[in-house]
Amino acid sequence: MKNRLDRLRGLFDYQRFAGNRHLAALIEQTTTMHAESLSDEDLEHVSAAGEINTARTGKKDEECNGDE
Amino acid sequence: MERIYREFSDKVLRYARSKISDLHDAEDVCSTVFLRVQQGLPRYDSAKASLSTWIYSIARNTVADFYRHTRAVEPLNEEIVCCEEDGLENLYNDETLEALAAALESLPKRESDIIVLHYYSGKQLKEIAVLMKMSYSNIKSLHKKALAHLKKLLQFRL
Repeated sequence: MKNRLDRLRGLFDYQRFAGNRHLAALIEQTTTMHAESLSDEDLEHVSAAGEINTARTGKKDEECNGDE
Repeated sequence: MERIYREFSDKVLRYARSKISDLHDAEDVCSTVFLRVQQGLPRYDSAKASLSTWIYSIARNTVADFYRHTRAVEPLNEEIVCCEEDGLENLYNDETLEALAAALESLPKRESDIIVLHYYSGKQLKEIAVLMKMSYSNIKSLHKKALAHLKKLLQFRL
């Protein structure tokens, strides 16, 4: 499992060198969409249990559905 | 050597720039890479690795050496480890990158976003949860699903 994750990470690293256009377009799309930088305060909103404190952020948490 | 420089200088500089924020440092690393390529060329064996993979492995090691050097922890490691030695030659090619792109495209958007943000941008799942305005547990669950999907789609490569 770890080996597979390392290979996936390695493949993305190789992309930084090879610059495959198809993959670069997908990466660009995702990174642009989520370009917002995170402050320490943002990260504080994620509780130790890993849940976002929506009361503090005022942001409604999305449900995990529609992905299957 | 001139042909190699023409063909790979953009790739090496792009790689160095993606790893090193200071332009001058990235250019220095780039110069070191080509010096090492020139020095290693007589020993390069095309049967073991493609030229592209070989130069990538030199660039990767040179960047690692740069960080070791700037942190002044240990001396430069001049040994160049070829991707062939760690069994990655079959993985590091344009065909696999194309397959990865196609696989990501076939994933639900949120899953592919998590994969890109975690494995390319290096963000922690906790950070991704904030960026995507989702709970950490949902992100962990989607991450697991995304990996399972990728494993199926790229079974011969990953």
